[in-house]
Amino acid sequence: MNAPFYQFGLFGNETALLFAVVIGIGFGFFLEQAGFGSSVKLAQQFYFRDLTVFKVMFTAIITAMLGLFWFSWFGLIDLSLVGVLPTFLIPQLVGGLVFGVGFVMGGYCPGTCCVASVTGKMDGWIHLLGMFAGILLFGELFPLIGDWCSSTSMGEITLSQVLHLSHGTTVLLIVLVALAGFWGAENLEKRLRTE
Amino acid sequence: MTLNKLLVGIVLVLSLLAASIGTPQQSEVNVPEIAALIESEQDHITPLELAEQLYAGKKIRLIDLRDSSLHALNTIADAENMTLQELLNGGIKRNEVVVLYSEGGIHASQAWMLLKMKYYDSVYTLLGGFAGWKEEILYPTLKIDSTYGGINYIRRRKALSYFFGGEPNILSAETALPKTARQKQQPPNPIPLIKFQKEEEKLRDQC
Repeated sequence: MNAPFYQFGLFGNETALLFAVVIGIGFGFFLEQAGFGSSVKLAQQFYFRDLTVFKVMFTAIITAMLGLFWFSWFGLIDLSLVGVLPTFLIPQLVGGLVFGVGFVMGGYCPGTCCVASVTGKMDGWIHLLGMFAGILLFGELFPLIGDWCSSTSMGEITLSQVLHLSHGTTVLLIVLVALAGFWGAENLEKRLRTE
Repeated sequence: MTLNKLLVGIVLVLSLLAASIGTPQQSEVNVPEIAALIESEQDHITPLELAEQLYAGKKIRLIDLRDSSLHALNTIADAENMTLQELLNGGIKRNEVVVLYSEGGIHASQAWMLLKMKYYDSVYTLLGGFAGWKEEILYPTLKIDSTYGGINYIRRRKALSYFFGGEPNILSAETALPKTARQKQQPPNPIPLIKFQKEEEKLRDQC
């Protein structure tokens, strides 16, 4: 058992930041290569004409999920040490809605607007500026809304705990949902393209 | 068979196997390894070792597990007061050197054991607890040794004691080092002095 490496103290903060830079560059590179630097392509998913984003995101979820499960089973990673962000139900639902509206209106999510801006796209830069203005505004308003932001806390809860299922059954359930989603997305794309 | 179908097949097989396994077995506590750490005394740090390392500026996180009232009264500089629950619920990170102490040491040893069961590597207890710290570092009783090494040692111990806000009690008939106010109030103990004089004579003979 030697992972998560950072949690086991195999490297400190400085090395962790170095890894973050390398992984971040790789992440940005592949997003750009997949065409996620174009707001037109990204916005197509909201009209069900191009569901690449949906398929990429679910592929990433399945890959990470199966990887974590099997690495854990082979004793290479301690799942109890993998960080889980706490859930604040209502604030996160509202945050998700704000995120979605911003994505539909601007055509970018926070990651893809960074990718677009470094490839010189003006709409990417505008989106990036808007994102930082939003962060600043949130920071300034935090003394007023801080209590609400930490309301409806559910702690570091996972899907398997909510559903009262084993890790493996949850994995299978999500894989089936994803495969059904892939199949539906492919059919929808084909139908809308032929129309 | 296309690549997509092959990948779907692999994913399905892996997820079906995962469902049959249920929850991956959580790693078991390595009892022999913990026992070896205790036997080889790698579970603790002595007050003097800790003081030297803190004096040298080494980054060590000190956790005081005593009651908050005792912590407020007196503690080691920069130590954080935590309950056992706070400590175990993410109070410390895995990649930092942590020294735990309680008043005597039992409570800290229990916390150390629980943290080891959760795979915290660089965690140590302070030998003798805060009582040991007071005895060894804050208010140590030092016997004068007028050899070169002995004088340096006592100077060092005095420096450490003053650095952490204490005051040593130095037993001496010599004038190699200044006496403290505390010492002036207490009559010197003749027994250690006789021992000291004999040892000093031996050292001189050897030279």
